[in-house]
Amino acid sequence: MIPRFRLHRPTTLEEAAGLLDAHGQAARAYAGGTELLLVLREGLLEIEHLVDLKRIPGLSGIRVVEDDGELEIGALATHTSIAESPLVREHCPALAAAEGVLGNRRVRNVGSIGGNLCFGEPHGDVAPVLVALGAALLLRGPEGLRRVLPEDWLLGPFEVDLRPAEILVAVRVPLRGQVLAYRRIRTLERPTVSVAVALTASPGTPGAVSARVVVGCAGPRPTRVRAAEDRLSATSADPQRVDAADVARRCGTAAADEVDAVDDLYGPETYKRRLVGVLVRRAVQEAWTGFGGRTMEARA
Amino acid sequence: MAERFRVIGRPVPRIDGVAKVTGAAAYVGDLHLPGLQHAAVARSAVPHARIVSCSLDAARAVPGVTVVLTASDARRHFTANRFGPVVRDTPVLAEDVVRYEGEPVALVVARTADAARRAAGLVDVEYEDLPVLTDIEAAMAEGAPRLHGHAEGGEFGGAWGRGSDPEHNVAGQYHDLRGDPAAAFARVEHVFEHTYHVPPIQHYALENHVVVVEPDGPGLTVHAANQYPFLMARLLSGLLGVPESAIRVRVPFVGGSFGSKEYVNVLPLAALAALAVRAPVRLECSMEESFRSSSRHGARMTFRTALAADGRIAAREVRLLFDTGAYADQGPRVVRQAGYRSPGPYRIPHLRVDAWAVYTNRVPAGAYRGFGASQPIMACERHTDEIAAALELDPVEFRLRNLLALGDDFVAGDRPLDCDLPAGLRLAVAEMRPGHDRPEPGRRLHGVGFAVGAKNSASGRLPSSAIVRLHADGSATVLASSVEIGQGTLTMLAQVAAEALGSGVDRVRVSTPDTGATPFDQRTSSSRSTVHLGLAVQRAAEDASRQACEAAAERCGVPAEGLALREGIVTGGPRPMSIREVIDGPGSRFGGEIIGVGHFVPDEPEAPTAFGMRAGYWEGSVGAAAVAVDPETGEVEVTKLVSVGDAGTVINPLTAHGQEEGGAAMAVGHALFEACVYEGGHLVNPSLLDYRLPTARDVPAALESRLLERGDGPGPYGSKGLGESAIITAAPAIVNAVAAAIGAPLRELPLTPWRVLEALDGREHAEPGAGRA
Repeated sequence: MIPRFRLHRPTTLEEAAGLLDAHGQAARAYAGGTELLLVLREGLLEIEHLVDLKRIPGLSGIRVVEDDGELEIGALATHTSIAESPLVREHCPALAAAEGVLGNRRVRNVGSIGGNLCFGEPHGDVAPVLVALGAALLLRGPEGLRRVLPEDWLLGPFEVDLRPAEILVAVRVPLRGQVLAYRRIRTLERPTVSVAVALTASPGTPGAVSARVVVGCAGPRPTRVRAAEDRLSATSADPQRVDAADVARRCGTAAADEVDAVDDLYGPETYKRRLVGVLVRRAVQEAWTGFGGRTMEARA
Repeated sequence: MAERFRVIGRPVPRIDGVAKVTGAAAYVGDLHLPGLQHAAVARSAVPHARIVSCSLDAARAVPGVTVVLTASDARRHFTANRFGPVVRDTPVLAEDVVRYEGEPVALVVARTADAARRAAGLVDVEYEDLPVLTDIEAAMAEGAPRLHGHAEGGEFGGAWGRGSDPEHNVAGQYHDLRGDPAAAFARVEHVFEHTYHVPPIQHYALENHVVVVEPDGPGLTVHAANQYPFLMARLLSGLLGVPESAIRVRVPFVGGSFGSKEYVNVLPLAALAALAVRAPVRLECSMEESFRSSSRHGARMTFRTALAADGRIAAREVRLLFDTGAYADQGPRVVRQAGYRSPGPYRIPHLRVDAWAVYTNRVPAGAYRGFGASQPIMACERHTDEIAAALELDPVEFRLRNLLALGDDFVAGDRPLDCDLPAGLRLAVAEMRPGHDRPEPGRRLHGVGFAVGAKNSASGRLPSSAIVRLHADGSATVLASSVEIGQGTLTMLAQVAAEALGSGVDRVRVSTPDTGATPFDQRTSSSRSTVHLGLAVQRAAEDASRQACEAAAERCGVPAEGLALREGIVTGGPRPMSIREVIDGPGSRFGGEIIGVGHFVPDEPEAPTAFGMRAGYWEGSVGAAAVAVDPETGEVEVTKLVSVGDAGTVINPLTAHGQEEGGAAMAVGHALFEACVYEGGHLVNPSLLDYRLPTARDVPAALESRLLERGDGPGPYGSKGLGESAIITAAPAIVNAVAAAIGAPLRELPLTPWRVLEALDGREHAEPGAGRA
């Protein structure tokens, strides 16, 4: 049973911020409630005021901001709406794919990308993908608009860099022709380990690649695996000169060594480390194949 | 088979189906009574401690709270603050010691559920920690702290309670010695010994524990989600010191149980609350509270087998340690059944079985679908495959060489096996042959596994009575006390009554249990309703039909032989006579309806066995599974699952296959996912986020149920029960399939991906068919 609370339904951001400011720690912003209501029911948080953001117009849209070269996803966009969005599918198919497998259908239909990010669940699907894509979070607070990188946003398990009276309004994903592979293993409701690998052609350096290799869920927060990124970035982008399987294997080994994994109900540390190696290898191979296909296509 | 019958064998849709899928069906939680108050339980936060003090002031100060109750109130309102089915070792509310995390310490009653819950959270208990017993062997060791003193027997008592030995933290035990196993082990060349572990698991019924209790004269009317209405009436009559007739237990639809809704403490708690406030009270538990109320026993099981040169089993020794948690609950009964069944349905000339249910500081373990069959069958069937692998024998051939046949004695004196396991195994092998064995291209390993099991179901003295009221329009009301927990018992009883009355199923209504109105039934358990209550209903319907025919014959002045009741008309006489004319016609002896009565009383054992009870019938089961294993991640996919049940006569193919498929799907969780995880005495995963149940995704598209029918069951029209058949062999079949796929033994459940990888890493010997990638 969920303890009693007061539900506020502001229709403007200013009104919502005012409520959050007035009630401080006793208030929380409320979107889909798929995480928040569970926590309330379990008695893990005592919240007297829920500030429902769903009546504030303009928070769930998905659009391309041409000037910035970015895709903007409103914080209240549901996982299903992102997974099914033609814009996301066109510009960022792997994000659409990740959003399409998150949790279960009921969660995807009401849960929002912003709520997911604000909860700071270490076993979340979304954050590692956003880190790999070089995305940013847009927050509106008393000081105005703030732009935060997802890797700086997540401070630890269930702990995020959300300041008093601040509201997460959107996620921005750069449109730079990235190839992204997302792999995960899931036995419980959430992933045990997830890996997102993004490859981008380095501007101005033909044949060079810029890489992001991100491991999620293994440790307290998503981690970039620098050793694997460096190895990929040092590899020529010409698929004919590279043994992709070999590169992938080396990246996997490097990631398994480097990454921070913890023991929990999802599995022992050693198992997660091993999974990291396997998933990084598989994701790099997939991304590299996709990337190679693209450069070949460009050449033809 | 079905052609002989009008209604038996037909795929009759569930008569409760529409109400359930439309939400119209009423459960206990839907009951609203004027003046209803709400109870909530304050539970122990620690696994084992002395209660130093318990402050109720803050809880009492919550607006809306009417009363906060502790053990002293239970002693005041009840004859004793104690209950328990086999031994009365369980306080309704903790006295001076708590023995598991989640044990009820205080009970709050309030005008709203919210106030009750908030107040329960404010009950302030100071504990002094006591040593926590988490290991079964350690709990049995000399010098281990004792959790219990001696307690008197409960409703079951008797033979079930004889093994209680609180000096050694033993709640119950079972021992059997046949022949001379020690000598047999000395004679043979091949001896195999393996130890297997299964964790405690949760029933997870969709409906949590819920009960509404109303004070009613000197006694109570209870609306309970419970499988044991008559035993609950007996329990409450004892606790209140009132006649059984003063306690009325009604059970509407129940939202799943799987054994969880038997002896949990919600009934005495709610009764106490209602007595204290003299008003109706509802107690409804959360899912986490259900996790902290009952469980299936975790177990450590050692099987040792001597094999003769011809591949026949020469001798077997079995040692079972069952973790029964903080209170005995049904543990002593579960472990006796587990011990009795543990050797498996094989010819074993020399046998020794030692089984114990051991107290620890964990959530009490009790009944769970399969009732002590699932754990030893898992160990036995893994052990069987491991022996076959070591000797490079085909595991199916090895089984066939040793299996008991139809009509063989499991133990002399018990009912001979009335299930054909070799035929079932051959059918399962045939089902697995086409196509399954074609490994997909890629890196996954494929394997196939089989398991057989036999469960002595409906054992012991489990009587049933039923009444059939044949109305003047030819329709009928069946008064019977079988609990509809989702298994389709109402539909089954309606079909049995309709067949016997020669009417359509739509002319028959079947009651739900109301101990104040419907006749006695021992309980809804052990897959016994079809056989026992089914027979009682059949006999009651035949009694009504016979009375109708005799009265019609008398009226026409002809002998009753040759007359029959069909569609509300007595036929076969000089002229057809309607039931209305029989009942209401001139000279009728009937008071407006014909009342048929039927009883079932079980046979006594023909000769004394170590177990001491005779099976109602044998629930024979064969499981077969095909799996694909990712050798890099350890993930297991069940690609095909086949269950072969032994039905006697299928009364309703829809519900029969439903039971089999449901049981097999449930067992996917036992094999691959489910475990109550404890850190010390703390249960750390009491929610579905952290406790993994199988979902539709995990159930293979190729889920097949096959039923053997010989028409030879002891139930109505040659039927047998089926509720627990698939579940007892599907899990070991899956585990055997994974072991075959990876070529390594697996001895601990569940098969989490990391356990599969560990087994792959430590591959000692390859099992046949291993690693076909």
